[in-house]
Amino acid sequence: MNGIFNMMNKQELGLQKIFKGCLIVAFNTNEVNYIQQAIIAADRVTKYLKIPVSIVTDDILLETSYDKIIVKKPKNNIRVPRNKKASNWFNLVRTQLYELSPYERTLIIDSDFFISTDALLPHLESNRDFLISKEVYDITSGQVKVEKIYSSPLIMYWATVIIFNKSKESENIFQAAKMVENNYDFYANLYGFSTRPIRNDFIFSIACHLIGGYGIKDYGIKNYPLINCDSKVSYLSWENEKLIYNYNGESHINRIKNADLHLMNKDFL
Amino acid sequence: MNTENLRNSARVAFDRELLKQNLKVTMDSRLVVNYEGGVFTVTRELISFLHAYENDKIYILDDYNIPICAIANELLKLCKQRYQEIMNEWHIQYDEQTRIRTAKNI
Repeated sequence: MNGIFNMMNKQELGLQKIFKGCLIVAFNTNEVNYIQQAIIAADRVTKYLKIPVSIVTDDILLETSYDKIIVKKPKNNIRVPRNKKASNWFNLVRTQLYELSPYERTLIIDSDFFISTDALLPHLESNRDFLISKEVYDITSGQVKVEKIYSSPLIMYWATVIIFNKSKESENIFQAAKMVENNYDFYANLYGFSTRPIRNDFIFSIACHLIGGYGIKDYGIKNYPLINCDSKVSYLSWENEKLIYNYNGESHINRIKNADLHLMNKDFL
Repeated sequence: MNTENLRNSARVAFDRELLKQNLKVTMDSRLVVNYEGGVFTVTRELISFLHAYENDKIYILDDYNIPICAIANELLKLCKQRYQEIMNEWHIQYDEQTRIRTAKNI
């Protein structure tokens, strides 16, 4: 199936109603080719999860076998990583994905989340209305952690992987996420995090906290820790589903194989 | 044995244990099945529990604490298949890891 859903003029061309599918958001910057990254991520979703993928982008001319959902490029959410220069970042579409998704049950992943197993399938096939990553695995210490948002009592959920049904509860979470996004400075001051750049993780953490009865409901994906390979890690090679990496000041070298990896360190991708 | 050798030994031990943890986290996340919309982590305890009920229809809490109606034998078969598949692969990869003695072999 190859269709284009064009949000800019609200025409629906060739899309059939599909029960399960994946959305990956990708807007290129001068520094990073997010679209190429998204296509690689999409190839892996197709290979391991065998579900259709749609790429949410502004690039009408993009040639790809995947469905495209064309939207207007969001505002630039400039970020300044530590010891690096400022870079452009167009990440502020996630709160709209409930309406944009053509699927009844949707998996959202970041374009730098590379699947190498079928571990998400049981959760994708479950009847939970809304699921989001909560546990995180640190590949430099071997620990699984659940983090809080800075010194606040709020559990930190990671918008890297989200699964949702078209349902009232999911709709409420996305509506709450939009409200948080629109009042980001207020929530940043309330919970003690930086007002810029705007992070979808914080947005959805607060939204889940609110809609889940002020934190009593747990939306975390069970037994699926997010393997974050961040700036603490240098990637030496990644092939045949095996990542070899340096950590702890390059004095250590290790590997992780056949795992769904969040390769956040753009310098090495 | 001088302190530098001790430090190196500690570093090697850390790396080796981390390698095992990396394998464990990937395999654990795959020891999961879906049955009738419920998500079940496959454990030896679950398999033993299901054995006790044979062909009975039972209600069993899934990982999200939702009671799911299951035919014990059906869920048992699914769990055993998954357990065997993942444990076989775990064994193969663990075996491969035990042959790693130096960083260049990683």
